[in-house]
Amino acid sequence: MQTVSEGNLDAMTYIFERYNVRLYNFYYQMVKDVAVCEDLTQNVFLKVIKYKHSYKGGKFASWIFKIARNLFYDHYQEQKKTQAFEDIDDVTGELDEETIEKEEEVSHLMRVLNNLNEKDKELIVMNRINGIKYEQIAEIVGSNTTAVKTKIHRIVQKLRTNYFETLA
Amino acid sequence: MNCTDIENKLVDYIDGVLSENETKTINKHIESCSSCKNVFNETNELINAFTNETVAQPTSNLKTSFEEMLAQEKKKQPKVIALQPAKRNSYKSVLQIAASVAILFTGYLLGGYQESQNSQKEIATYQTEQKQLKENMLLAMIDNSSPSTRIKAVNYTEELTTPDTKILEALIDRMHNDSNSNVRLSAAEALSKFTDSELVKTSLIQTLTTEKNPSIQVEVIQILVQIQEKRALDPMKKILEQPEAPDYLKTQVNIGIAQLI
Repeated sequence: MQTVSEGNLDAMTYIFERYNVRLYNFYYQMVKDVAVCEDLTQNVFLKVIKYKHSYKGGKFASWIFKIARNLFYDHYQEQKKTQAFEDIDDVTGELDEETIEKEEEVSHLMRVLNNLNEKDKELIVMNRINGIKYEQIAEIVGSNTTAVKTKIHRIVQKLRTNYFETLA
Repeated sequence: MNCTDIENKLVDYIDGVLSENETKTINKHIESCSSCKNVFNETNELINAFTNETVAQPTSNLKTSFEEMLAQEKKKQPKVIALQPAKRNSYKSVLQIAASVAILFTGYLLGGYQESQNSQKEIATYQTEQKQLKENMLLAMIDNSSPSTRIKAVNYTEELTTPDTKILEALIDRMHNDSNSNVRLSAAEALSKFTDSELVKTSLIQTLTTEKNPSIQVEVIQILVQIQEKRALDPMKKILEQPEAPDYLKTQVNIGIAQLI
Protein backbone atom coordinates (compact mmCIF):
# COMPACT_ATOMS: atom_id res chain seq x y z
CA MET A 1 0.00 0.00 0.00
CA GLN A 2 2.92 2.29 0.69
CA THR A 3 3.77 2.12 -3.00
CA VAL A 4 0.18 2.90 -3.96
CA SER A 5 0.05 5.94 -1.74
CA GLU A 6 3.28 7.03 -3.41
CA GLY A 7 1.35 7.02 -6.66
CA ASN A 8 2.11 3.58 -8.09
CA LEU A 9 -1.30 2.37 -9.20
CA ASP A 10 0.10 -0.91 -10.53
CA ALA A 11 0.47 -2.03 -6.94
CA MET A 12 -3.32 -1.73 -6.73
CA THR A 13 -3.62 -4.94 -8.76
CA TYR A 14 -1.75 -6.77 -6.03
CA ILE A 15 -4.05 -5.31 -3.37
CA PHE A 16 -7.06 -6.28 -5.45
CA GLU A 17 -5.89 -9.88 -5.78
CA ARG A 18 -5.30 -10.08 -2.09
CA TYR A 19 -8.52 -8.58 -0.80
CA ASN A 20 -11.24 -8.82 -3.43
CA VAL A 21 -12.56 -12.26 -2.36
CA ARG A 22 -12.41 -11.36 1.33
CA LEU A 23 -14.26 -8.09 0.84
CA TYR A 24 -16.73 -9.67 -1.52
CA ASN A 25 -17.49 -12.36 1.04
CA PHE A 26 -17.92 -9.83 3.77
CA TYR A 27 -20.49 -8.03 1.64
CA TYR A 28 -22.01 -11.26 0.45
CA GLN A 29 -22.84 -12.31 3.99
CA MET A 30 -24.26 -8.89 4.71
CA VAL A 31 -26.20 -8.37 1.49
CA LYS A 32 -27.25 -11.39 -0.51
CA ASP A 33 -27.07 -9.66 -3.84
CA VAL A 34 -24.25 -10.49 -6.20
CA ALA A 35 -24.52 -7.25 -8.19
CA VAL A 36 -24.66 -5.06 -5.10
CA CYS A 37 -21.75 -6.93 -3.51
CA GLU A 38 -19.64 -6.56 -6.60
CA ASP A 39 -20.49 -2.88 -6.78
CA LEU A 40 -19.59 -2.37 -3.16
CA THR A 41 -16.34 -4.32 -3.47
CA GLN A 42 -15.45 -2.32 -6.55
CA ASN A 43 -16.14 0.90 -4.67
CA VAL A 44 -13.79 -0.13 -1.89
CA PHE A 45 -10.90 -0.26 -4.35
CA LEU A 46 -11.95 3.03 -5.87
CA LYS A 47 -11.94 4.60 -2.42
CA VAL A 48 -8.54 3.07 -1.68
CA ILE A 49 -7.15 4.85 -4.73
CA LYS A 50 -9.00 8.05 -3.94
CA TYR A 51 -7.87 8.17 -0.32
CA LYS A 52 -4.45 6.64 -0.86
CA HIS A 53 -2.81 9.70 0.63
CA SER A 54 -4.74 9.41 3.87
CA TYR A 55 -3.30 5.94 4.55
CA LYS A 56 -0.83 6.63 7.33
CA GLY A 57 0.78 3.24 7.76
CA GLY A 58 -0.59 0.73 10.25
CA LYS A 59 -2.36 -2.49 9.42
CA PHE A 60 -3.62 -2.25 5.90
CA ALA A 61 -6.31 -4.93 6.33
CA SER A 62 -7.90 -2.85 9.09
CA TRP A 63 -7.82 0.24 6.96
CA ILE A 64 -9.40 -1.40 3.95
CA PHE A 65 -12.09 -3.03 6.10
CA LYS A 66 -12.86 0.33 7.68
CA ILE A 67 -13.52 1.67 4.20
CA ALA A 68 -15.56 -1.42 3.35
CA ARG A 69 -17.62 -1.02 6.48
CA ASN A 70 -18.34 2.66 5.88
CA LEU A 71 -19.42 1.88 2.34
CA PHE A 72 -21.68 -0.86 3.63
CA TYR A 73 -23.37 1.50 6.08
CA ASP A 74 -23.84 4.12 3.39
CA HIS A 75 -25.45 1.47 1.25
CA TYR A 76 -27.53 0.20 4.17
CA GLN A 77 -28.88 3.69 4.99
CA GLU A 78 -29.86 4.25 1.37
CA GLN A 79 -31.46 0.85 1.22
CA LYS A 80 -33.53 1.65 4.29
CA LYS A 81 -34.84 4.86 2.72
CA THR A 82 -35.91 3.18 -0.51
CA GLN A 83 -37.18 0.06 1.28
CA ALA A 84 -40.44 1.74 2.28
CA PHE A 85 -41.38 2.32 -1.36
CA GLU A 86 -40.19 -1.07 -2.54
CA ASP A 87 -42.27 -2.88 0.04
CA ILE A 88 -45.43 -1.52 -1.51
CA ASP A 89 -44.35 -2.67 -4.96
CA ASP A 90 -43.44 -6.09 -3.67
CA VAL A 91 -47.02 -7.07 -2.91
CA THR A 92 -47.31 -9.23 -6.02
CA GLY A 93 -47.50 -13.04 -5.97
CA GLU A 94 -44.84 -13.41 -8.59
CA LEU A 95 -42.19 -11.62 -6.58
CA ASP A 96 -43.09 -13.55 -3.45
CA GLU A 97 -42.42 -16.83 -5.16
CA GLU A 98 -39.03 -15.65 -6.26
CA THR A 99 -38.16 -14.62 -2.77
CA ILE A 100 -39.10 -18.04 -1.42
CA GLU A 101 -37.03 -19.76 -4.06
CA LYS A 102 -34.04 -17.61 -3.12
CA GLU A 103 -34.55 -18.35 0.55
CA GLU A 104 -34.24 -22.05 -0.08
CA GLU A 105 -30.86 -21.64 -1.67
CA VAL A 106 -29.59 -19.91 1.42
CA SER A 107 -28.26 -22.11 4.23
CA HIS A 108 -29.91 -22.42 7.59
CA LEU A 109 -26.98 -20.61 9.17
CA MET A 110 -27.52 -17.66 6.87
CA ARG A 111 -31.17 -17.44 7.74
CA VAL A 112 -30.29 -17.31 11.43
CA LEU A 113 -27.61 -14.72 10.72
CA ASN A 114 -30.10 -12.53 8.92
CA ASN A 115 -32.15 -12.31 12.06
CA LEU A 116 -29.31 -10.54 13.84
CA ASN A 117 -29.06 -6.78 13.82
CA GLU A 118 -26.55 -5.28 11.39
CA LYS A 119 -23.91 -4.55 14.03
CA ASP A 120 -23.91 -8.07 15.45
CA LYS A 121 -24.05 -9.64 12.03
CA GLU A 122 -21.11 -7.56 10.90
CA LEU A 123 -19.02 -8.63 13.88
CA ILE A 124 -19.77 -12.31 13.53
CA VAL A 125 -19.23 -12.24 9.76
CA MET A 126 -15.88 -10.53 10.12
CA ASN A 127 -14.76 -12.90 12.86
CA ARG A 128 -16.14 -16.26 11.83
CA ILE A 129 -16.44 -16.02 8.06
CA ASN A 130 -13.70 -13.56 7.13
CA GLY A 131 -11.51 -14.95 9.91
CA ILE A 132 -10.40 -11.55 11.18
CA LYS A 133 -8.83 -11.64 14.64
CA TYR A 134 -10.44 -9.90 17.61
CA GLU A 135 -7.71 -7.24 17.87
CA GLN A 136 -8.09 -6.32 14.27
CA ILE A 137 -11.87 -6.12 14.47
CA ALA A 138 -11.41 -3.85 17.49
CA GLU A 139 -9.21 -1.64 15.31
CA ILE A 140 -11.76 -1.62 12.47
CA VAL A 141 -14.81 -0.81 14.57
CA GLY A 142 -12.93 1.46 16.96
CA SER A 143 -13.26 -0.57 20.16
CA ASN A 144 -10.94 -2.63 22.40
CA THR A 145 -10.09 -6.29 21.98
CA THR A 146 -11.72 -7.55 25.18
CA ALA A 147 -15.02 -5.82 24.45
CA VAL A 148 -15.08 -7.21 20.91
CA LYS A 149 -14.25 -10.71 22.11
CA THR A 150 -16.94 -10.70 24.80
CA LYS A 151 -19.47 -9.34 22.35
CA ILE A 152 -18.70 -11.98 19.74
CA HIS A 153 -18.94 -14.75 22.27
CA ARG A 154 -22.36 -13.48 23.33
CA ILE A 155 -23.48 -13.35 19.73
CA VAL A 156 -22.34 -16.94 19.27
CA GLN A 157 -24.46 -17.99 22.25
CA LYS A 158 -27.46 -16.10 20.90
CA LEU A 159 -26.99 -17.63 17.48
CA ARG A 160 -26.68 -21.09 18.92
CA THR A 161 -30.06 -20.78 20.63
CA ASN A 162 -31.70 -19.47 17.47
CA TYR A 163 -29.95 -21.95 15.24
CA PHE A 164 -31.13 -25.02 17.12
CA GLU A 165 -34.57 -23.68 17.96
CA THR A 166 -35.40 -23.06 14.31
CA LEU A 167 -33.70 -26.19 13.05
CA ALA A 168 -36.42 -28.52 14.25
CA MET B 1 -15.45 -22.94 37.13
CA ASN B 2 -19.20 -23.04 37.08
CA CYS B 3 -21.38 -23.74 34.05
CA THR B 4 -21.67 -20.03 33.04
CA ASP B 5 -17.89 -19.65 33.06
CA ILE B 6 -17.59 -22.75 30.94
CA GLU B 7 -20.20 -21.47 28.49
CA ASN B 8 -18.33 -18.18 28.14
CA LYS B 9 -15.11 -20.00 27.35
CA LEU B 10 -16.54 -22.45 24.86
CA VAL B 11 -15.72 -20.46 21.75
CA ASP B 12 -12.09 -20.08 22.77
CA TYR B 13 -12.09 -23.74 23.73
CA ILE B 14 -13.27 -24.74 20.27
CA ASP B 15 -10.84 -22.30 18.68
CA GLY B 16 -8.12 -23.99 20.72
CA VAL B 17 -6.68 -20.77 22.10
CA LEU B 18 -6.99 -21.59 25.80
CA SER B 19 -4.12 -22.57 28.08
CA GLU B 20 -3.46 -26.25 28.75
CA ASN B 21 -4.89 -26.00 32.27
CA GLU B 22 -8.12 -24.34 31.17
CA THR B 23 -8.56 -26.85 28.35
CA LYS B 24 -8.15 -29.71 30.83
CA THR B 25 -10.68 -28.17 33.25
CA ILE B 26 -13.26 -27.75 30.50
CA ASN B 27 -12.60 -31.25 29.20
CA LYS B 28 -13.33 -32.65 32.64
CA HIS B 29 -16.40 -30.49 33.16
CA ILE B 30 -17.99 -31.40 29.84
CA GLU B 31 -17.53 -35.07 30.61
CA SER B 32 -19.42 -34.72 33.86
CA CYS B 33 -22.02 -32.04 33.04
CA SER B 34 -24.60 -33.07 30.47
CA SER B 35 -26.12 -29.62 29.93
CA CYS B 36 -22.68 -28.12 29.24
CA LYS B 37 -21.86 -31.02 26.96
CA ASN B 38 -25.02 -30.21 25.01
CA VAL B 39 -24.08 -26.51 24.77
CA PHE B 40 -20.60 -27.49 23.65
CA ASN B 41 -21.92 -29.79 20.94
CA GLU B 42 -24.31 -27.15 19.65
CA THR B 43 -21.69 -24.41 19.69
CA ASN B 44 -19.22 -26.66 17.96
CA GLU B 45 -21.77 -27.45 15.26
CA LEU B 46 -22.56 -23.77 14.80
CA ILE B 47 -18.92 -22.82 14.51
CA ASN B 48 -18.31 -25.64 12.08
CA ALA B 49 -21.29 -24.41 10.09
CA PHE B 50 -19.46 -21.10 9.72
CA THR B 51 -16.30 -22.80 8.57
CA ASN B 52 -18.26 -24.94 6.16
CA GLU B 53 -20.01 -21.93 4.72
CA THR B 54 -18.67 -21.91 1.20
CA VAL B 55 -16.53 -19.00 0.28
CA ALA B 56 -18.53 -16.98 -2.21
CA GLN B 57 -16.59 -16.24 -5.35
CA PRO B 58 -17.22 -12.95 -7.07
CA THR B 59 -17.95 -13.22 -10.77
CA SER B 60 -15.41 -12.18 -13.36
CA ASN B 61 -17.38 -8.94 -13.65
CA LEU B 62 -15.65 -7.69 -10.54
CA LYS B 63 -12.16 -8.15 -11.93
CA THR B 64 -13.11 -6.70 -15.30
CA SER B 65 -14.70 -3.62 -13.80
CA PHE B 66 -11.78 -3.26 -11.40
CA GLU B 67 -9.35 -3.31 -14.29
CA GLU B 68 -11.43 -0.75 -16.15
CA MET B 69 -11.55 1.47 -13.10
CA LEU B 70 -7.80 1.12 -12.56
CA ALA B 71 -7.11 2.05 -16.17
CA GLN B 72 -9.31 5.11 -15.80
CA GLU B 73 -7.63 6.10 -12.56
CA LYS B 74 -4.26 5.76 -14.22
CA LYS B 75 -5.40 8.14 -16.93
CA LYS B 76 -6.56 10.57 -14.31
CA GLN B 77 -3.33 10.25 -12.40
CA PRO B 78 -1.19 12.59 -14.51
CA LYS B 79 -3.80 15.25 -13.81
CA VAL B 80 -3.41 14.66 -10.12
CA ILE B 81 0.37 14.66 -10.36
CA ALA B 82 0.10 17.79 -12.47
CA LEU B 83 0.90 19.56 -9.24
CA GLN B 84 4.50 18.44 -9.51
CA PRO B 85 5.20 20.12 -12.85
CA ALA B 86 3.34 23.06 -11.43
CA LYS B 87 5.82 23.02 -8.58
CA ARG B 88 8.63 23.07 -11.07
CA ASN B 89 6.79 25.88 -12.81
CA SER B 90 6.67 27.88 -9.64
CA TYR B 91 10.42 27.35 -9.35
CA LYS B 92 10.66 28.50 -12.94
CA SER B 93 8.46 31.48 -12.29
CA VAL B 94 10.72 32.47 -9.42
CA LEU B 95 13.53 32.50 -11.94
CA GLN B 96 11.33 34.42 -14.33
CA ILE B 97 10.52 36.97 -11.68
CA ALA B 98 14.20 37.20 -10.79
CA ALA B 99 15.04 37.67 -14.46
CA SER B 100 12.41 40.36 -14.92
CA VAL B 101 13.62 42.13 -11.81
CA ALA B 102 17.15 41.91 -13.17
CA ILE B 103 16.00 43.31 -16.52
CA LEU B 104 14.10 46.08 -14.81
CA PHE B 105 17.11 46.90 -12.70
CA THR B 106 19.48 46.90 -15.67
CA GLY B 107 16.96 49.05 -17.49
CA TYR B 108 16.89 51.41 -14.57
CA LEU B 109 20.69 51.57 -14.39
CA LEU B 110 21.04 51.98 -18.15
CA GLY B 111 18.38 54.65 -18.16
CA GLY B 112 20.02 56.37 -15.24
CA TYR B 113 23.42 56.16 -16.92
CA GLN B 114 22.08 57.48 -20.20
CA GLU B 115 20.15 60.14 -18.39
CA SER B 116 23.25 61.24 -16.50
CA GLN B 117 25.21 61.24 -19.74
CA ASN B 118 22.52 63.30 -21.37
CA SER B 119 22.36 65.68 -18.50
CA GLN B 120 26.13 65.85 -18.42
CA LYS B 121 26.05 66.78 -22.08
CA GLU B 122 23.35 69.29 -21.37
CA ILE B 123 25.26 70.68 -18.45
CA ALA B 124 28.35 70.85 -20.64
CA THR B 125 26.46 72.78 -23.31
CA TYR B 126 24.96 75.02 -20.68
CA GLN B 127 28.39 75.57 -19.25
CA THR B 128 29.91 76.42 -22.61
CA GLU B 129 26.93 78.59 -23.38
CA GLN B 130 27.28 80.30 -20.05
CA LYS B 131 31.01 80.74 -20.63
CA GLN B 132 30.31 82.19 -24.05
CA LEU B 133 27.77 84.51 -22.52
CA LYS B 134 30.14 85.55 -19.76
CA GLU B 135 32.92 86.17 -22.24
CA ASN B 136 30.66 88.20 -24.48
CA MET B 137 29.51 90.13 -21.47
CA LEU B 138 33.11 90.68 -20.39
CA LEU B 139 34.15 91.85 -23.81
CA ALA B 140 31.24 94.27 -23.80
CA MET B 141 32.01 95.49 -20.28
CA ILE B 142 35.71 95.89 -21.01
CA ASP B 143 34.90 98.51 -23.64
CA ASN B 144 32.63 100.36 -21.23
CA SER B 145 33.25 104.06 -20.72
CA SER B 146 33.23 103.77 -16.94
CA PRO B 147 36.67 102.76 -15.52
CA SER B 148 35.04 101.00 -12.55
CA THR B 149 32.99 98.79 -14.88
CA ARG B 150 36.15 98.06 -16.87
CA ILE B 151 37.95 97.04 -13.64
CA LYS B 152 35.00 94.83 -12.72
CA ALA B 153 35.17 93.18 -16.13
CA VAL B 154 38.91 92.65 -15.79
CA ASN B 155 38.42 91.12 -12.33
CA TYR B 156 35.75 88.80 -13.72
CA THR B 157 38.27 87.31 -16.13
CA GLU B 158 40.14 85.88 -13.15
CA GLU B 159 37.22 83.53 -12.64
CA LEU B 160 37.82 82.02 -16.06
CA THR B 161 40.12 79.03 -15.98
CA THR B 162 40.80 78.92 -19.72
CA PRO B 163 39.90 82.20 -21.35
CA ASP B 164 40.10 82.24 -25.12
CA THR B 165 42.44 84.49 -27.04
CA LYS B 166 39.72 87.09 -27.57
CA ILE B 167 39.55 87.71 -23.82
CA LEU B 168 43.35 87.65 -23.49
CA GLU B 169 43.68 90.13 -26.34
CA ALA B 170 41.06 92.35 -24.75
CA LEU B 171 42.94 92.21 -21.41
CA ILE B 172 46.27 92.93 -23.06
CA ASP B 173 44.65 95.83 -24.88
CA ARG B 174 43.40 97.19 -21.54
CA MET B 175 46.86 96.73 -19.96
CA HIS B 176 48.55 98.60 -22.78
CA ASN B 177 46.05 101.21 -23.80
CA ASP B 178 43.57 101.99 -21.06
CA SER B 179 43.58 105.60 -20.06
CA ASN B 180 42.94 104.69 -16.43
CA SER B 181 46.01 103.40 -14.58
CA ASN B 182 43.85 101.37 -12.20
CA VAL B 183 42.32 99.49 -15.09
CA ARG B 184 45.80 98.86 -16.53
CA LEU B 185 46.98 97.56 -13.13
CA SER B 186 43.96 95.25 -12.76
CA ALA B 187 44.49 93.97 -16.30
CA ALA B 188 48.13 93.20 -15.50
CA GLU B 189 47.11 91.39 -12.31
CA ALA B 190 44.49 89.42 -14.22
CA LEU B 191 47.00 88.47 -16.90
CA SER B 192 49.44 87.18 -14.24
CA LYS B 193 47.09 84.15 -13.96
CA PHE B 194 47.51 83.26 -17.61
CA THR B 195 51.29 83.43 -17.97
CA ASP B 196 51.33 80.01 -19.65
CA SER B 197 50.30 81.78 -22.83
CA GLU B 198 53.21 83.05 -24.92
CA LEU B 199 51.03 85.94 -26.05
CA VAL B 200 50.63 87.07 -22.44
CA LYS B 201 54.37 86.76 -21.75
CA THR B 202 55.43 88.91 -24.71
CA SER B 203 52.76 91.47 -23.94
CA LEU B 204 54.00 91.72 -20.35
CA ILE B 205 57.58 92.20 -21.51
CA GLN B 206 56.35 94.85 -23.93
CA THR B 207 54.54 96.63 -21.08
CA LEU B 208 57.87 97.16 -19.31
CA THR B 209 59.05 99.41 -22.16
CA THR B 210 55.78 101.20 -22.84
CA GLU B 211 54.32 101.65 -19.35
CA LYS B 212 55.26 104.84 -17.55
CA ASN B 213 53.30 104.31 -14.32
CA PRO B 214 55.78 102.99 -11.70
CA SER B 215 53.21 101.00 -9.68
CA ILE B 216 52.15 99.08 -12.79
CA GLN B 217 55.81 98.62 -13.72
CA VAL B 218 56.52 97.16 -10.26
CA GLU B 219 53.56 94.78 -10.63
CA VAL B 220 54.65 93.61 -14.07
CA ILE B 221 58.27 93.12 -12.90
CA GLN B 222 57.04 90.97 -10.02
CA ILE B 223 54.96 88.84 -12.38
CA LEU B 224 57.83 88.36 -14.82
CA VAL B 225 60.31 87.52 -12.07
CA GLN B 226 57.90 84.96 -10.68
CA ILE B 227 57.68 83.16 -14.01
CA GLN B 228 61.50 83.56 -14.45
CA GLU B 229 61.14 85.30 -17.77
CA LYS B 230 64.78 86.08 -18.83
CA ARG B 231 63.64 88.15 -21.80
CA ALA B 232 62.48 90.75 -19.26
CA LEU B 233 66.08 91.50 -18.29
CA ASP B 234 66.82 93.95 -21.13
CA PRO B 235 63.71 96.13 -20.68
CA MET B 236 64.35 96.07 -16.92
CA LYS B 237 67.93 97.29 -17.33
CA LYS B 238 66.57 100.07 -19.55
CA ILE B 239 64.29 101.21 -16.69
CA LEU B 240 67.40 101.57 -14.52
CA GLU B 241 68.88 103.90 -17.13
CA GLN B 242 65.77 106.12 -17.13
CA PRO B 243 66.49 109.23 -15.01
CA GLU B 244 62.84 109.88 -14.24
CA ALA B 245 62.28 106.45 -12.73
CA PRO B 246 61.61 106.69 -8.98
CA ASP B 247 64.00 105.04 -6.52
CA TYR B 248 61.58 102.43 -5.24
CA LEU B 249 61.03 101.27 -8.82
CA LYS B 250 64.79 100.98 -9.38
CA THR B 251 65.14 99.02 -6.12
CA GLN B 252 62.38 96.65 -7.28
CA VAL B 253 64.10 96.29 -10.69
CA ASN B 254 67.42 95.47 -9.01
CA ILE B 255 65.82 92.84 -6.77
CA GLY B 256 64.10 91.39 -9.84
CA ILE B 257 67.28 91.29 -11.87
CA ALA B 258 69.06 89.58 -9.01
CA GLN B 259 66.34 86.93 -8.87
CA LEU B 260 66.31 86.42 -12.61
CA ILE B 261 70.08 85.98 -12.90
